Amino acid sequence: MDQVENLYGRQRFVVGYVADARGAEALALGISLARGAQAELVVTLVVPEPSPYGGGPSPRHVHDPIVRERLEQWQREALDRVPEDVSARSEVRAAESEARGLLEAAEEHDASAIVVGARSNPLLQRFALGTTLSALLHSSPVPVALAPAGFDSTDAPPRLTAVYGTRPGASAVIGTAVEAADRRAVPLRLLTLLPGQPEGGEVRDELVRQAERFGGLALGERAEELLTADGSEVAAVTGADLDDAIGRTTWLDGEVALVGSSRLAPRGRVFIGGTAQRLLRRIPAAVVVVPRDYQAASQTSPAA
Amino acid sequence: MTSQTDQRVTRTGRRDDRGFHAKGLSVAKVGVLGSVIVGVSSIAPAYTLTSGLGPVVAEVGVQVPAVLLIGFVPMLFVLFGYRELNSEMPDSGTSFTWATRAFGPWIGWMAGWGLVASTILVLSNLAAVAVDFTFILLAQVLGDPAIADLTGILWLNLLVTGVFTAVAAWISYRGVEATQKVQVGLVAFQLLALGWYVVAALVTVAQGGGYDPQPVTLAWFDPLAASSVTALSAGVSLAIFLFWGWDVVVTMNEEAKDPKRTPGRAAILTIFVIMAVYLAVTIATLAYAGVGETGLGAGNPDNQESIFAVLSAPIMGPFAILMSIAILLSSAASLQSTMISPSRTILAMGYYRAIPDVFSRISPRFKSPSVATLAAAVTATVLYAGMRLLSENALWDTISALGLMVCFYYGLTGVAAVWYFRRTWFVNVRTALTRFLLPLVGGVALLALFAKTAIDSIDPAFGSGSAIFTTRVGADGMAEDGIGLVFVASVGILALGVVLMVVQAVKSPAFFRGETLSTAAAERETTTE
Repeated sequence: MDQVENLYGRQRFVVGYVADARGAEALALGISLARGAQAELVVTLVVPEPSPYGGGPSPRHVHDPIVRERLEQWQREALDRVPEDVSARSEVRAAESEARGLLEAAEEHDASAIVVGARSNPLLQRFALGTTLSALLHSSPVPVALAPAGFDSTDAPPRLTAVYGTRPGASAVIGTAVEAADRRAVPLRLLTLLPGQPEGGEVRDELVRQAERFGGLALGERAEELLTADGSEVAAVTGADLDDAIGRTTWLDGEVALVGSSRLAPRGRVFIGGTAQRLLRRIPAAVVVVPRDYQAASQTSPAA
Repeated sequence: MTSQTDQRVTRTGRRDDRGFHAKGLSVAKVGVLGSVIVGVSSIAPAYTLTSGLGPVVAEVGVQVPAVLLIGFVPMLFVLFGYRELNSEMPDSGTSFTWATRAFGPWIGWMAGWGLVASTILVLSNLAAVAVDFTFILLAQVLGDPAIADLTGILWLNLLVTGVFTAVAAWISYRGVEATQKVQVGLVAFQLLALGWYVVAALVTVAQGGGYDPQPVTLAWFDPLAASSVTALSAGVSLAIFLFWGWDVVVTMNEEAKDPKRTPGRAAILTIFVIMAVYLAVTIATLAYAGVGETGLGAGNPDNQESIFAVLSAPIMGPFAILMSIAILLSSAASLQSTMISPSRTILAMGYYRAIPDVFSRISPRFKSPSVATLAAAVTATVLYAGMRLLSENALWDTISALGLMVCFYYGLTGVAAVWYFRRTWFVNVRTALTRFLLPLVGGVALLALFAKTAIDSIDPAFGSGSAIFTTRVGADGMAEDGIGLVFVASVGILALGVVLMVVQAVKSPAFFRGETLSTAAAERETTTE
């Protein structure tokens, strides 16, 4: 385990916390992802930026002892839900929007992911991502993990699944998934839903090359090892269309899926494309959206 | 660390290892000019004048300038105490919390009720004015004067007012990103429209035009020339409404670039700007239209609900559209920003259990008072509908009632400051003025004004002449017996407050036993300068 930590460095996840069901789901996913990876959680509550120019809460509102007490209470409740074996801290951050606040937190803490609840507004259910979510998915430089409505599993994920295609960006998803699975010592499933993909050993070699491109030779080696390990698999599930293919896929309880962001994304940013958006709506598991040019931790951190 | 809030809870393994740390709650710094913009914008002169000027003229005729000068003195004096209290106890409850600290739960509760009722009354009025000018603006844009009359259709008026209020509540609940540019634009536009109005009116009069041109004389500034003490006190209590909103400027400590100098200078400059605008507009209006009770005269009861609605077209010609836009923008913006005020006080009252604690709910997502905002919006709409059904001149009577209520809770706030700071009165000359003399004089004056005007307003002829329990109505439409609507709307609402207070005291006595918010006094040691 020490070896693993040396290879990848210690991780930190920013959890976008709101004191409601959505926040609880985000926190549960944060705990689940932190477990096994020995990551630290930064439970972040974003408050509107106080402005003397009216419109929102005045500075006096945000500085109000009553509001502050309520915020502190929410922070404590959140931290009380985090089990003893996961290290966590909490902060309140003022920003012009929730998304902006979480992005700032991620940057300041050098976080490797932002975790949020994906439960959508009941009025707009299934038709639109919430404003915060959509803003995050269009501009986050780090992977964004989305907890589906009702998510409450706080155990480490039993398996990770990377959903990959042929488009550029596949290496970021595959590499991140290899890294994440290796870090947690859990099986990895590489899943393609596109018809006509090559199969067998040929694919395995290609996937290893993708991992190598993402994380260098060291990660390539890990990928090779992982893909031949017990429980790991390279699977192609096809159906009449994407929805049908997803419907045919089986998922473990608490499993986490990784998908790539659109090729339309500016370099290094998440941008959710049509396919990824459909995946998000259909996949019953928690989903991590990985930016197209996301950099491997094993490449950027000083080598051990 | 005055401009930052410490709020980080840390735990690594151990549950009690918590530390607090500052994070990004710093506030954009505002200079003198920025503070003046914020102050002028919160007073919203275009809206205040169109609503308030007519009723003042109705009471005191050409002595409006005198009344303006008198009215602003007690307001200013109380504000010194307000500012002291705010820096000592920066709490959402403001007057409620302060009066409770000084005088105990019962008086504190009533101060809170007065504040909430006033702000809710003004919300209903702001929404109604915004609706009126929406129709006027539509009529001007489409060139069809008939559209402006649509506001007189009761159900349509109530519907649109309800929609406006709901939108404002929704925005203040969710919060919007307000920028300095928007605020500056709004204020500049208001001042431009008002300036245009003044110049156009005075030029017309100088060229021998005008509806009923009056020579401007010094007598306009002489309060003794008013017809009676009753008229004078009624006029002054209305002027109090015109000056309401200054507290924003004097409490902008944390945002000030230089907390020692900026707020004081900004307050003086704001007062100067507002006084100049008010006096200029008043003089121009009186000089152009006179106070006659027919036609365009400022004394015509038909014109007094919304003076600019009637006068801006003849004075400004096609450019009257500027005035409509200015009033619509200022009342709509003010509607939205004012919504925050009652909801914050309701939040505090709920938090201290002065009212059921469901009112202290804060939205997890937007971190703003949820139930309190909803309650304020619903009450404002219901109150407006009630006033509208009872009175043809709902806007006018609302403003009169508002003036009274503001006198009540500002007066209480003034004397609360004096009493709370009783051990620190004579630390130095400054405290002798700001913690004793000025708030005392201002507070007592406002309370006296409240008492005098409240008694006068029992008369059914007070204000617009609307009354309840009326059996006889004169040929001029004025009620000849019954109880004046202004009295019912102000003292009646305060009395309702007493009833609700007693109910809450029986059901949930903790607050009334001083268990949630105890009385206190500022100590000498804590106030070293």
